[in-house]
Amino acid sequence: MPGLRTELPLTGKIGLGVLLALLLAATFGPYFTPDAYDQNLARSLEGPSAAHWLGTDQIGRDLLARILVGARYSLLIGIGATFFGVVIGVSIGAVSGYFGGIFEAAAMRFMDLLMVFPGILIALMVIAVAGDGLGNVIFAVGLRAVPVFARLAQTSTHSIRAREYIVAARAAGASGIRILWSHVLPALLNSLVVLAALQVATSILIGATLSFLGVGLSPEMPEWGAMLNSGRRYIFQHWPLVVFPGLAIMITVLGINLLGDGLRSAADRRRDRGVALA
Amino acid sequence: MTLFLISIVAFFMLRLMPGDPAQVLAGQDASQELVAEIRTRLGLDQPVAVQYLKYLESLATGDLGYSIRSRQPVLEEVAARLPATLALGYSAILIALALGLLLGVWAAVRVGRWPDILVLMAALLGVSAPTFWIGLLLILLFSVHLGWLPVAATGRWDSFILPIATLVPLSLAIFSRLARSTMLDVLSEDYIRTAVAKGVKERVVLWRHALRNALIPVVTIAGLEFARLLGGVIAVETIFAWPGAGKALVDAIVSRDFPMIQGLILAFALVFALTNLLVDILNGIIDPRVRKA
Amino acid sequence: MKRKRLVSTALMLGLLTILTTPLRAESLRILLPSEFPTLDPVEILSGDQTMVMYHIYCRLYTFDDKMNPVPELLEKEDISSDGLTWRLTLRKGATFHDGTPVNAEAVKYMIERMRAKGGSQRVLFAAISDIKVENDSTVVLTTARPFPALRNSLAHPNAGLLSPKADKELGDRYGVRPVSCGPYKFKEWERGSRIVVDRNSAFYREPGEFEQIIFQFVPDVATRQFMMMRGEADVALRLGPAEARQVKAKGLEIISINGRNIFYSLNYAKAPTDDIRVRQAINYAVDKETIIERVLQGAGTPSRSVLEAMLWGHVPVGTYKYDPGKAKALLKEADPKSRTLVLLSPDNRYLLDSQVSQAVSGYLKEAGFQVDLRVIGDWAGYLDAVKRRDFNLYMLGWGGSTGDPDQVLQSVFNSKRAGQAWNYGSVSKPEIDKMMDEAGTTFDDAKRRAIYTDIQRRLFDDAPWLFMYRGTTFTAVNNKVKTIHTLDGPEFHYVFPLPK
Repeated sequence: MPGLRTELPLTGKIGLGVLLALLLAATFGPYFTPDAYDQNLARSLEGPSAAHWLGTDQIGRDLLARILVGARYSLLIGIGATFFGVVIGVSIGAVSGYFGGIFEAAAMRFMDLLMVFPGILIALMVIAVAGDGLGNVIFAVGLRAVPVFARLAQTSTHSIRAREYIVAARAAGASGIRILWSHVLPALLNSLVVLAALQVATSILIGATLSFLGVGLSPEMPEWGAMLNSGRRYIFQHWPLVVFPGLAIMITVLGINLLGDGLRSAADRRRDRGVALA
Repeated sequence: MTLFLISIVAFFMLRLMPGDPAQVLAGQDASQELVAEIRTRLGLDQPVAVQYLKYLESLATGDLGYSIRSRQPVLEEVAARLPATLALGYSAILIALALGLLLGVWAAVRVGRWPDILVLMAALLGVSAPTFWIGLLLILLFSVHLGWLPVAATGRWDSFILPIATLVPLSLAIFSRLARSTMLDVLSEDYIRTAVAKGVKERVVLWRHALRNALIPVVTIAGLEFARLLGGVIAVETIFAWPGAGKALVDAIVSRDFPMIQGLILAFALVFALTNLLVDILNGIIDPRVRKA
Repeated sequence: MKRKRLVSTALMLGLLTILTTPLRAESLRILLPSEFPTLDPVEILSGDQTMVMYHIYCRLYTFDDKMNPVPELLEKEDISSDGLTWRLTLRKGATFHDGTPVNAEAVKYMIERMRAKGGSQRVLFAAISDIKVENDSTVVLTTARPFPALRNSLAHPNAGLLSPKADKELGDRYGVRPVSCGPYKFKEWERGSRIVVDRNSAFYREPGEFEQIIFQFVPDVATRQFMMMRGEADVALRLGPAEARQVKAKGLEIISINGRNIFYSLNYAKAPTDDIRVRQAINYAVDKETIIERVLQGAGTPSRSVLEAMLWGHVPVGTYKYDPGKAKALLKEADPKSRTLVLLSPDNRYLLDSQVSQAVSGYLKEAGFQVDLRVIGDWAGYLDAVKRRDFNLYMLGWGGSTGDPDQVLQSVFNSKRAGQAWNYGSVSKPEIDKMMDEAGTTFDDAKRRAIYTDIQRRLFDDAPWLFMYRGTTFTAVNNKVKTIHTLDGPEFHYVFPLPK
């Protein structure tokens, strides 16, 4: 988006900064720490030290390394699930909004139904049917985001369907898919980006909740929720295990939320200006 | 309508399972005769449409089948666990509502100053921190370090404090933000300005006129918000060993107890539907315009 | 507005009190780590379930503190000289909680019911060929072969007597409303929360000490510790070493129990664990001593045989000492096509089980395996996964709940049970089968002991398990509890006196 640097409010810039720092840390951090899977029982449950900046976990693995590798999982789940939600949701919403009729009514009714349920409930149901595994977790968390994007796409498609340029394009013989792709989608893009950013945050939270509940991923994986789940047992003995992974989730989600809010107000500002010019 | 759709989803969930539902219901090492018997008893050898009608019929009579794990009627199992969940969920949402309104109004009156910024910050933190982590931190602080409060459901009133305190921030953020923004809108309306100009005391204006209007959107989303909050209850029940439906659902999913999962999902759906109804009624009471319409 | 707020406040207070029930002065509150689906003696799945059943059920025999069977409801035992016929005479006057008499018919009913329902422990009575009710208080059991462990079988919690009348009336519901003849009678079961039992004032011997016992399910160990320390409970089961230390520092009593023999069963029917060299490599690859010291924080001793000290006939055969070099060499020699091991682990079932499994997984990776670790928190769900037999290792703990090796060995290693409970690892060794049958049918203790020693040696060499440790568990007790029996091995607990 052009002009982002000037239009993004300070909080949004902070969010962007947090996110970039996180990406850097997740990509390169693990090269500077001990291996996240390397156990050393002789040094279990140690406090912070020069060798282990955040200390070690119950079987002597480096906590910082696990948190850094965990960032990869969280971002993968958050972005992957949102991507899934965008692709499926926008397809359903745009197609049903464009063609209308009984299909539109039925599809949207079903989307409303999915919206009624809390995301974690849907994700749990999907895992129950589909089984464990990273792919299934992404799918389960992503399914919850589908109706959010479907709604957005449907409303905007529905409203621009009757606009002159669309009618003209249709008269000129453009196919439905082509019109959706080249006219409808670009119009959606701004609100889509804002919504997607916020959905990445929610998806990360739900993914972490799933593995905290012991559902979906193996406890060996350095996923933040899973780490909190195994660390919970040591709450009386070794507090870093229940504090740091949660802090990592919070900072990540906060950063994304700040960025999302910032993008929203930037988009609002641009729209207001557009209205003023018109 | 919603319930009807949910019944379809719940019905097909079992059929989406890989493998034979009768085998799933009978358990891994059931004999072939038992599997066959279950298949006939549940009518699984009949067309899907017939199966669905039968399923609806048994739903209408309150028959949700038997839990695979406990071999007891699902209806009883669900009924035994729902009250604990509702007690937690409703207490939390009511407290979040009250607190959210209070904070929102406070922030709106002091817009741009520190209470306002504080509320905004707290709201942002509230939606960014995972619920279960807040629960763990509260346990760490109030149970482990200070030793003030119990960490699990003991049946006594004080065991409610931490779970509720864990859940409240989840919805507090949204309520206070919404209350703040509607309050700001309302405060700039003419009739409020007139009232102030007429010399009506600020407090009276605020609490009698403005709040009533700010209440409407907040109560309206309270229904949806309650659903989200119940999502949080699932994790909270696990942390605080709360004997409710959320924990039962996680257990049922881990042990693949499908009749139980079905029953619990239906129960949750029923609760959402009833809560939304309640919200509609409440809105009618608060806002006479809704009633007339 | 004001009235509305009043209403909502009242509503909230009402909700707050829904779960609030006042504590009774003479009640005892016991914290159990897990709930279980039923109290039906046909299906006993856990020590927690057994504890509740100990208080509700009575049996012909019971175990003394050393796991020897001693008479409970039994007055006289008369075994024929060929060892095939047992004439058992019951005490007169005992009644079930519903008032019906405890008689010979009820004993017959219990055994036949166990067989008809096909519980996982039907092996206990496999040897019985005929049951005859001689008169109201005498039952005659005939075994097809001499079966010295019958006493142990009848003392086992699976052999709890139940009221035939109640069972027939309740049908499928019996498991959640049990009716038996123990010192406490079942009152209510709040699903997901607790079970309450009341004193049985009509108990045939000295009635229970407490008016009521509340068994509360608290899965989280930190929570059990915490409730114990705050005086919200009187007994807490299965604390870890760190929790036990802190509770002890508060002046409460801690009982250490030498618990189960913990191991990973290896799958003979799935590569690469079908190869003995791979099984041995697995045993050499894992540093049991360090796991005990660091993960279990000292709460265990290395296991030295498939049988442990709580079982009669146990001999310490040896340990596979940690030797990563040897493990790698064996693996290289075996050179299996696949080096991936599927490892199933429960969570919160045994002390620190999933943590131990993670550590084991780490050691196996160091030795050159790829490990697919799957932790399944719910016990029933875990067993379902085990039954699918898509594993190379799965964790299990044996308590030896009859005190006699016959039951454990037959159910874990008999080739007839390959692929079923509890031989899911499909161990199939005809020579071991023959030796087990021989040992199980002789009354000659010296001969039995010799055979069992041989069996233990052979099994140790074949490495059917990744041998781990015998875990220590800790039970916290406050001064309200005057009598408590805790049995090593199966970790049975009960709070009433043994029969004299």
